[in-house]
Parts: sequence; structure tokens; C-alpha cells
Amino acid sequence: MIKVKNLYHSYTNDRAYAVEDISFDIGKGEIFGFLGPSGAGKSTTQKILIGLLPLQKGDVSIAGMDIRKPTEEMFNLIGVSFEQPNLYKKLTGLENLEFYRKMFSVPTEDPMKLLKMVGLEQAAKKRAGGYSKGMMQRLVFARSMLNTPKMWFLDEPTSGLDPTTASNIKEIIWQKRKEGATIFLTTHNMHIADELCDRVAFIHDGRIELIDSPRNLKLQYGEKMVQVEHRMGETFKKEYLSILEEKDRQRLNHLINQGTIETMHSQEATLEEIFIKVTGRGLK
Amino acid sequence: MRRVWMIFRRDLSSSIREFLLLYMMAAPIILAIIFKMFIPSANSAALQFAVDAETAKDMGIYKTISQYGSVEVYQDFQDLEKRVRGTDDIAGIIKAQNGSYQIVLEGNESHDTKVIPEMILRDYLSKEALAMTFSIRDLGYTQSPIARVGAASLILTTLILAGAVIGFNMIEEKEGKTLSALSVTPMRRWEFILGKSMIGILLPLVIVYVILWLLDMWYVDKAMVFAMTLISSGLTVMMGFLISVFSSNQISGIANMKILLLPLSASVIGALMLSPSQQVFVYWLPTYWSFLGFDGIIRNTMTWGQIGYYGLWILGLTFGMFLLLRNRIKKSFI
Amino acid sequence: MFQRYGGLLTKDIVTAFRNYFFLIVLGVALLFVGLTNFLIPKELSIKPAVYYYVDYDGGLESVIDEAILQSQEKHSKIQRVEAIEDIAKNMESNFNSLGMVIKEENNQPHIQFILQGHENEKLRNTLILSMKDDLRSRMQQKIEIERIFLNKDIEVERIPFNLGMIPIFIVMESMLLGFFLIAALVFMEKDEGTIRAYLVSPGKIPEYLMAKITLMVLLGCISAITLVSLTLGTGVDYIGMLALVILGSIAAAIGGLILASFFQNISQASIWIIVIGIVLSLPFMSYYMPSFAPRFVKLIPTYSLLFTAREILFPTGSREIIYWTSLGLMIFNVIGYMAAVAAYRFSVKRD
Repeated sequence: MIKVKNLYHSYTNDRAYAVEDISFDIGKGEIFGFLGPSGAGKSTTQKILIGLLPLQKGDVSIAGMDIRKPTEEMFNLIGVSFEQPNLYKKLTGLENLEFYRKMFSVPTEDPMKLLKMVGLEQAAKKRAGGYSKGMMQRLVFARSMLNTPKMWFLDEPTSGLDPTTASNIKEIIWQKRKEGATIFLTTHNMHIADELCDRVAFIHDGRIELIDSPRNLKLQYGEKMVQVEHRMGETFKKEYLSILEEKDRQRLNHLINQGTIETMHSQEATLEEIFIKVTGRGLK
Repeated sequence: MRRVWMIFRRDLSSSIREFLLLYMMAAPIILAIIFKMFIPSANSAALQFAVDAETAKDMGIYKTISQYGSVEVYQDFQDLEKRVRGTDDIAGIIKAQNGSYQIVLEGNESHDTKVIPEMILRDYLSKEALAMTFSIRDLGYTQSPIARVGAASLILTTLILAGAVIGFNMIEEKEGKTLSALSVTPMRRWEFILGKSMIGILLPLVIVYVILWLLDMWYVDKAMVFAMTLISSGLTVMMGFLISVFSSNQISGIANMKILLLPLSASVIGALMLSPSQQVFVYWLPTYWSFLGFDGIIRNTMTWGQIGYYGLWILGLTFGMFLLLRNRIKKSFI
Repeated sequence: MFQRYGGLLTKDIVTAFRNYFFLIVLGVALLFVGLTNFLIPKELSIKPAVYYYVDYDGGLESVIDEAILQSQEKHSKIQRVEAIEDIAKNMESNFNSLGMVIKEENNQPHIQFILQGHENEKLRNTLILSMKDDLRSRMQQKIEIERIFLNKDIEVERIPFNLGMIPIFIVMESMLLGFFLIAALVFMEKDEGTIRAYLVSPGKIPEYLMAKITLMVLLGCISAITLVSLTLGTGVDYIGMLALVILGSIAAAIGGLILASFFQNISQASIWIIVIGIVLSLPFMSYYMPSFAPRFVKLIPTYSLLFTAREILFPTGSREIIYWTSLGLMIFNVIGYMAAVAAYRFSVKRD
């Protein structure tokens, strides 16, 4: 559905790249997680994909269409749920959706139905300016579904939502995927990625460190990880060490000999731990 | 006082970063330069005449006409007619076949353009001398009213621009909710007001002198200019608060600014157009007093007593408006 | 495309309405109506006051007296003073004034004019000329000069002073309001981030700008109709006026859009909006003194707009200006619109 090849982008138009040599493919009906801390280059990449930033170097195509020449057809195909709620504050929730709906030249969903899905039917006639942060977030999410996008970009869709609402949103994402949508999920929340994604990409300092399915990653790194908490002078430090790697084993021995260890667990690695392992010290 | 200084510093650095300070200084200066180019043509403004080439050959009539206005020469009647039909007022003068002069007009010209060419021709053609003499002397006020009024209006514009910037600065704080963060500190409200107003008070104090210098009005009493500007910054501050208090966001800020500009221009027009007895209508506008003050200073007829009197009006009105809006300010800021 | 344009327009109208734009525009128009109908006088002369002193009782006394008396009937601000010193005193307190001293010199009357000092040479000559002409007409046979009026068939009435201000209101308020307000709308959407949401929809920049311009035209028409219908009534060419207001508001809105595209926020833009607003008001001088028309004033667009608006509301038969101004506006609107689209393609993606 999306093909990205050797994507580079520099805000200063020089060699100081914000994203560097990024390549990946997303298959139809796949949920692809784009994971990384703030400032890693996630949103830059996403902005290029949805056409908010110009494509400087590299090739990107969505459903076979080159995004250098964005067509109406392409925008009819995609849906974007922004992280920062961007709504017409003087319009009601319903009016926001009614307006946005008219922008598409393909059949669209009934706004009221979408509002019900995200639990905003009571607030449909209230102005978006008076919404709470979470409500705005849900309205933006609902808006991105208006054109039943084949290619759906979700930027931190559950941040700032309470657990019940968040799981409701997850349900919707599952549902849409079953209906055939391809999903590009940007997040720094590893739990969500773990639960939802078929494959994840770790992005760090503008580069993709690895791409794999959460399952494979866990098989590779899980059960062989030790979480060690030890004292360093006045402070505590947490380290994830792999018993498979020579360097880590030596470190572990060193810590044991030092006698500063407070707690130590062997455990199945979470995605978060793997990320720290991968990007923090690097696989290379 | 330390907190006032901090607020001022914050505003100053954000203004510099966003080029606002530069724009605020550049804008009145650019206007002054444009205006400087405008003054000479406004001062030499006189009637306009168009003659055809045939008539212009007669140096006598040509010279006579050019004593009373600018003269343009056109090849033939067609060209002259085209010119007379132009938007502005210009009187055509031609010599007919029989040797008599004719005046060509469009019909919608103002009174002077219609009658003065006749007077010129009658005077030129008259054989009999008039048994009387004329002379002219003047009182030596060579500063033209256009330059004076323009300079005073420019100074007022500077004050208003500064007010608009204060206003938008405050709307920004309101929108960003940084005000609520400030209001849980020991900062007092007057410190906030003063801190926010600093730029608006200090900046015009510099620009006013630049404007006066640019417009060749450096002869003015500098101390009076200083006093008047300082007093008038009351209205700058008020303008800023009026914009921000009534606007929940920048867009309503613009709308409110647009409304506020009305009474401001009314004060200048009122001071110029209304007869002294009618000027009571604009007494309630602090800008009116400020305009009178600067106008008087440029005219060199101002006394310190008058400055005190105008100052009382300006500060009294400003203070009164703050009192009226006291609750509104409290509600919208803290 | 039309569906999107309709959607955008509806959204802009609702937003403008909820930001009280319609109320403000209507309120300002009504304020002008009130000013025109009740406060601004029908007759307002900016002619200077004259203070005169007579120390002459020679043979021409009666002629001079009569001339002054007749002028006084037409022009109330002519005042006799008892001492020469009073002239200067009065002139110092009223800067729009002049003095006149009538004395005897070499057995002839001598008229000395006292001016403020800023009056230019041509004005001074004209002053003497008109006095001479007045007196000559009383003592000598009047020479008739033939006048040719190019627009013969139209009886031009004098426009009362208060109604003469309506074209100014139409140009400054009805047409130029878009120049002030459209930037505000654009910046609001940049702030809210809604413009980003729009950009990832199939919607395009031309439609987006077109809807905003339409809103400004709508506001302009409301303002103009309110103003004209309540002051001039029915006997006015409404179609011509609306056509001009529409073309003019489009141009003003486009100007506002292009200006706003250079700036990141409204505080920056508002400074230049005010500056340009002031430059645009310079041609008012020419409106009151039509013979004052230096080239650079004529180049300011409001110059033509003012006179065109006057010609439509108070026809004098000079239709050409209407056609030329309309043509100019149309050309500007087409080119300006394309420029605005290009500017926004570039500037909305910048941040």
C-alpha cells in the first residue's frame, strides 16, 4: 500500500537530515507501527507521507501513486488523525464533521454514526472550543474516518484518553483493519504498538533501526533479558542486559561483583525494553 | 518592580524574536518617508490647466496661466478633451477660430476650477487698468497645515500601533493560558499592567523624535514632545487593554481593532472639521487631546499650561476608562 | 468542486457569524448612517475665515463695501475687526484664516492681504486675482468668456457635504473591510491547525481562498446596501454600486491575503495592515480637492475607487472612469488571485 525508498528530509536544506535514508513497505491491510521517542523523526516522516512537507529526496508511493504529484484520488483515499487536536473551535462537533465531509468526492460516513462510535453523540451540538482535550482528540479521530480511508494515518490516537475510551478506540482500529484498511500508526506508546501492530519500525535519530513484528522481536530478545537495578552513589540506575551477548554478560558480572545491585529480574522483554536495548546501545 | 522588569524583558525578547519590534519601529518611519514625499506636492497644490499647442505658442497667455496653476500642453483638441475628461479637475483653455478664448470643462468640476479660468482670461484680456493696488504679507507660519496635521496624525498612529501590539501580546497570553500561570505567582495586577505596557510606553518616545526629524520639524520644543508623548502613552496602554479585554482570540482582536480605529480617526477629523462649539462631541476621546497637543507643539504655540490641561484630560479619560473596565479586566485576565 | 466550495463557504460564514463579523459590519454601517444623516452637516465649507480692517473713505468706498457685503452673505466667516492688530491675533487662534487691510495709498485704494505664511505663490496670485475680478466686475463692463461643457446633457447638482462622504465610506469600509478581516480568518485557521486538516483532504487551495473571498464580498455588500439604502434611498444605481463593491472587495480581500502570506502571525501582519490602510487613505485629499492629483496619489488604487464610487452614486456623465476602474479591478483580481494561490501553496506548507 505504501512504498518508501531512501527517504531523506532536511528542514535547513543541507545535510543536517531530520530523517535519513528511510525505507519500508506496508502491505495492504497491515497495521504498521512507527515507534520512537519525541524528536526521532516520526512526525517528519508522517508529514511527508501525507503531503504536508515536500518530498525532497527519495521515493514514496501510496497505492501506486507517486506522492510528488498528489491527486484528488489520493487524498480521497487517506485519512489522518492528528495528534494536536486541530478543529474549528467556533463550529460544533457535528458541524466540524459535516464540513469536512463535503471536501471528499467519494461516499462518506454518516457523521452522527461516527460521533456515536467515539462516544461524542451527547456533545454533537456543542462547539468544539468547549470540548475537553480528550473529546477533541476523539473528534479528530472520528473526522479521520469520514471517507472510510483505505490508508489511515494515526498519530498518537490514544494519548490523553482514559483507559476505557482508549480501549474503545483500539476496538475501532481493529474493526477498520478487518474491513481492509491499511494503518500507519505513529506512537511512542509501546503497549499500544504491541497490542495493535503487525509490524513495527523503531526510529531513532532520523534512522530506522529495525523493522519486525512484535512477536519476532520478543522471541529474539525475550526471556534472555535481565532487568538490573543498582546503586550508583546516591542514585539508582536501571539497565536491561541480554544474557546472550558477551558484553552484557560481562557487565552483569561486574555489577554482581560490585555488590551494588538492589533488584534483579529475568523477564519477557516488553517492546519498550527492546527499543531501549536497540536504540540505546545499538545493534551494530 | 523586579517583576515588572521581568515581564517587560519577556515581552521585549519575544517582540524582537518575532520581528515585531522591528516592524513597529519601521512602520511609522516608512509612513513618515512616504508622507515626506507627499508634502511638497500637497503644499504646491494649485489648480490645473490644459492648453492646446496652438494656444501655448502665445507666451503671454501661457505665462499668465502658469501664475495661477500648473499648465499642461496638448497637441490638439482631441488630446485636450481626453485630459479634461480625466478623473481629476482640470480646466482646458483654447483659442477658437475667431481668436476668442474658450474654457473646456467636463461639468462636474469644483467651483474654483470652473470660475478661476474665467477670471484669469478676463484679467488678461482687460484693457482698462483697475484703479487700485494689491499687496500681500504673511505672519511667517511657513509650516504648512498638511505637514503639521500629517505629522501629528503620524505620531498618533505610532501610539496606536504600539497599543495594538500590547493588545495582541496580551491576547497571546490569554490564549496560551500563560496568564493563569502568572496569576498563581505573587505578581500583583498593577505589576502585570505596567510590565505589559512598558514597550508601548518606551518605543514611541524614540520614534516620535525620528518622525519629527524626518519631517524637518526638529525646531520643536523637545521637552514638550517628551512630556506629551509620555502622557499620551496612557492612551496606548488603554488601546492595548481595550483590544485584549474584549477579544478572546486574535481574530476578534482584529475585529475590535478595526472598531477602535473609528473613534480614533474621528478625533482627528473632528479636530479639523468641526467648529469649536461642535468639538465638544469629541472631547471624550483621549486621542483628540493628544492630537491637539502634538499639533500645538509642531505649531510652536503650545504652553506648558496647555500641556498640563490636555494631559489632565488624557490621563483622566484613560483612568476613567480603566475604572469602568476594572471588573472586565479582572475577569478576563486572572 | 462546487460541493467543496459550498462546504467551505458555509463553514466560513458560520465562523464569521459566531465571531460577530456580521454584527460588527452592520453596526459600523449603521454608525455611518447615523453620522451622515444626523451629525455631519449638509454644508461644510473649509474656506478660510477672513478678518478685515477698513481705513479707507475714498471714492471707491461704496464699491468695496458692496463687494464685502455680498461676500458676507455667501460666506458667513467674514468678520470686520476694529484694529489692525486684531487681525494677527485672530489669525493666530484660527489657522484656517486670512486677513485683509483696506487703506488709501497714492489716492487709490490699496488692499493688503495678510496670510499665514505657508500659502504658495500660485495660491497668493489667485487670491488677488479673485478680489480683482470681483471689484472689476462692479466698475467695468464684464468680459464674457465662453465655456464648453463636455457633458452637456447632465445637470450636475452640488452634492451635499454629508452625502459626499458616502463614497468614502463605501470605499474605506465596504470594500476595504476584507483587507483587514481576511487575514484574521487565515491566521485563525493556521493557529487552530485546521488548515493542516484541510490540506490532507482532497480540498485545494484555490477553493479555500475563493470561499474566504466570497465571505468578504458578502460582508461588503451587506455594508454597502445598508449604508446606501438608509442614506440615499431608492434613486441610486444599486446594480452599478454592487458591481463595484463586489469587484473592489474581491481586490481588497486578495490584497489582504497576499499581505498576510508574508507573515507568521497576526501581530506582525496587523502593523502592515494599518500602514497600508493609512497609505490607502491619502487620496481622500484629492477627493476633497479634485485639482490636487499628483501622479503618485493617482496610482494609489483608492483614488480611482473613490471617484468611481462617486460617479456611480452621483452621476455626472463621466462614465469612462467606471469602465476603466472595473476593467482594472478585473485584471487585478485575476492576476492577484493566481498570485495569492501561489503564495498560499508556498506559505501554508512552510509551517
